Amino acid sequence: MPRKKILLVDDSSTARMLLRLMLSGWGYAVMEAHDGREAVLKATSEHPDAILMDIVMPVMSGIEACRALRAAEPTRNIPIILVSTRGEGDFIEAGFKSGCNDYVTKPIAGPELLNKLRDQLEE
Amino acid sequence: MRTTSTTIELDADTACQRGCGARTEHLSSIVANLYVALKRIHSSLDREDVLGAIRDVLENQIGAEEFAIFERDGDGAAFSLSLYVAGSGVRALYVRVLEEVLASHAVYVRSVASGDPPEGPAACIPLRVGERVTGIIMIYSLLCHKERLDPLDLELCDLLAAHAGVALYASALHARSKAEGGGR
Repeated sequence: MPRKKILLVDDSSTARMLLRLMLSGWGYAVMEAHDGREAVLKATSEHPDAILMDIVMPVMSGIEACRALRAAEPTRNIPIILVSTRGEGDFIEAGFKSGCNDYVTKPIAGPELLNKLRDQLEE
Repeated sequence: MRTTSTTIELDADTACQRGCGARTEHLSSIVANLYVALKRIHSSLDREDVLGAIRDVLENQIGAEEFAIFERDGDGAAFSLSLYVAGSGVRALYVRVLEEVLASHAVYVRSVASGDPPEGPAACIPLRVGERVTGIIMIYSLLCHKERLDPLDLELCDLLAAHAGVALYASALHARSKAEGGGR
């Protein structure tokens, strides 16, 4: 069975390295993007099974990228989990309003992220 | 009876496996975090890259919101600010905490239960190079959704104490070496 592909979007190389390690260990194939604009381009061309995306990024934020992905037919239904240091209610609300499926705060708890990913991928 | 006891044994085994699986997952997460922090801190000899890596660990892995990195000026007793993140302005150094950390060379973590004032720093990390404390990381506050530092965070603080100072020291030596080489 081919491995499910996860698109990882974060401008922090530390965050990307950590998530890549976790996701690979859990058996997923991993692609990376450094900002929201690159994320939209890669999601459109590579059709990942799910997207993990930071919110605060240069060029295009995670919220803007989420809206763009939801507005386009090829990427409309890809599950998106927003991953952010911002845990305030209004940030979380903004995330869900932009169209994300779930929200995880940093620092990331591996087991919590895995459960949410499995929920979105219906595993 | 036999079937019932077998079912009970299987249930106990399943529960044990689930518990062991969760514990393994938890330990894997800790190891992954420590590995990434170590790799990032030592991934470059450029001073700005090293400071950026330390900042990344503090923000993304520990969950620090407001913090500052101070480095000792040469062999003297004075410290200078190298990096400050968030907050409305530079905060106090919290002399009592600083003196405690400089004397013990150990990480300080605020414990309100032990009588530490809640308005004090969440943590203070000595940056060690051999027997010397060459710098200090002062974590003033954590992200709003993070109540306190957990065991993984304490491991990361210990890692920073042992390695961040060395990485900054190596970057300074590298810069000096390049400057001397360019002068020839």
